[in-house]
Amino acid sequence: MWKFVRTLLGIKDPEPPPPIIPLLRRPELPPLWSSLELFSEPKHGKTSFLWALSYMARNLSLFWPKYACWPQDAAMDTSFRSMLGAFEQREIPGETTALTRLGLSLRGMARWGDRRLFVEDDRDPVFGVSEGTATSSREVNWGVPICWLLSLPDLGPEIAQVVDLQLDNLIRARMRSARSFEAQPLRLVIALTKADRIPGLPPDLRNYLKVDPLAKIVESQSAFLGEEGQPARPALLFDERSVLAYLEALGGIHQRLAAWLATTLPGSLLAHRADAHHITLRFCLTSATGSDLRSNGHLAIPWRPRRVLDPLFWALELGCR
Amino acid sequence: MNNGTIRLDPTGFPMIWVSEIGLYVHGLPVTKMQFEHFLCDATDGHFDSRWYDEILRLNPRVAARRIWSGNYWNAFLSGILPAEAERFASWCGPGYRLLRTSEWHRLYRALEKQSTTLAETELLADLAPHHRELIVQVERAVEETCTQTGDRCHMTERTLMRLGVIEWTALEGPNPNLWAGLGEPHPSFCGNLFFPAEKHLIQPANAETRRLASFGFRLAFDPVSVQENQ
Repeated sequence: MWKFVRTLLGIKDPEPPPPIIPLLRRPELPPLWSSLELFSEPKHGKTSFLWALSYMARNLSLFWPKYACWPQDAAMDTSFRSMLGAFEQREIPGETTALTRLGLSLRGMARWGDRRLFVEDDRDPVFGVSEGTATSSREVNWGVPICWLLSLPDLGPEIAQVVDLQLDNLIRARMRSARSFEAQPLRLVIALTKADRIPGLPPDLRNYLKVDPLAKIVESQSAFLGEEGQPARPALLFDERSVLAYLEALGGIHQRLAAWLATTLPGSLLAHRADAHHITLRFCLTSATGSDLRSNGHLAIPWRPRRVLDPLFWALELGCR
Repeated sequence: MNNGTIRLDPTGFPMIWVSEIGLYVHGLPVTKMQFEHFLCDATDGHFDSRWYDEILRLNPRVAARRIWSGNYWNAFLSGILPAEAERFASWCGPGYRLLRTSEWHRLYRALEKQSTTLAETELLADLAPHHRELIVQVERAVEETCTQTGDRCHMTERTLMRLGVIEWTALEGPNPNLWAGLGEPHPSFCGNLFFPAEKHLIQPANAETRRLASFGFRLAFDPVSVQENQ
């Protein structure tokens, strides 16, 4: 009826609005998952590990010619620089109070190609939970290898119970996750941190920690030891063959550590629980500072990180499967 | 290494003759018991009770009979500055001094292949009972430590060049620093990955003013320098 009236009055129909042209949308990028998830109880060396890892990650181009690494955004860049600065100033991190993030794009890592590393240095939702403390609310990606930083010297007298309960916490946290059933079986890298302070560590494992060829290259890069002012840089091309040899050694250390831990109550409990839940378990050793020679919140000698890349290498390797 | 010649320092603790470096050297790093002799005798105000309290805060004292593998490093004097160690050396008399870095390394090389015990070197002969008790207890604790880890227990371990304290040594040659540390402390005393066999020097920042809990020393006695001065 209204159309008829409008025709009588000579009113034209309003022009239809132009069709909404959908904005050109870029195809959805695949999720930028980190290559690993990192968990640690407070005071088990997570911040130190991240500082040392940042330092080593920045220097990987010394043995991978096509390697490049850069922070993922401006905030990450600030955080990355601050970690490196603290490392150079020989600072020793105190208790983590503010959230810092390490987000790096790692490109050209020979065997593993291009990867991302995104780690939050805060109280994580698995091991950081205690009364009255806020934990990170971010979603954990249980599909990537999990790295658990565990400091044996900081566990105290109830070491067996603590380790076993913490693994149980980890398994339960994963089961609570909506994504747990999509994910592959749990791949867990247990990195024994502060290994320079582990009193009963067998000599061969201690020697493995001391003799870190990658750390040696990175250190010699800045130390002008040659008589003619040339850096005494040892030549090491970390090509496919060298990486394989390194991984083989890493596998040997995993077995040796597993055997050593199996002689202790916490180690055997850990192994049994991991076995019962079909967890792919790998052990490694790290020392972020290289010594505990501290005075007034600083190290008295420069940081000498040892084997801090091993947890990353394990995660990358397990992530390939 | 030695021809069985042992000498006692002014506090009654033994020094071994090491032909490779032509010096007598303390069989162990200087203990608190030794240093207390000096403290009783020190006439200036520097080494007062407050000074010693600070030292004991860094590394507490332990009675000889309570020494075991989890605390034997408490028996040694550490947290000391190099100049203070030199004061102790000069109190001991002419010919006493800190080891030089190269001497320490040569001493290490001389001892590392020897699997004898301290008793076999006659180090324990003619000692006062309380000195003997302390050394025996420390050696037992070190043996226990080595057994626990499966480590070797040679003379380098028994004399605590390994598993003891970081020892101040005098640097030689052109070097901006005068002092460097050498040794490999027990990981429970001070976490470390030091390689005493290699010529890796531990050169802390502000070495002459900053006390570090794990730094102690041992002395050498040079009989030739004493004869020359006479």
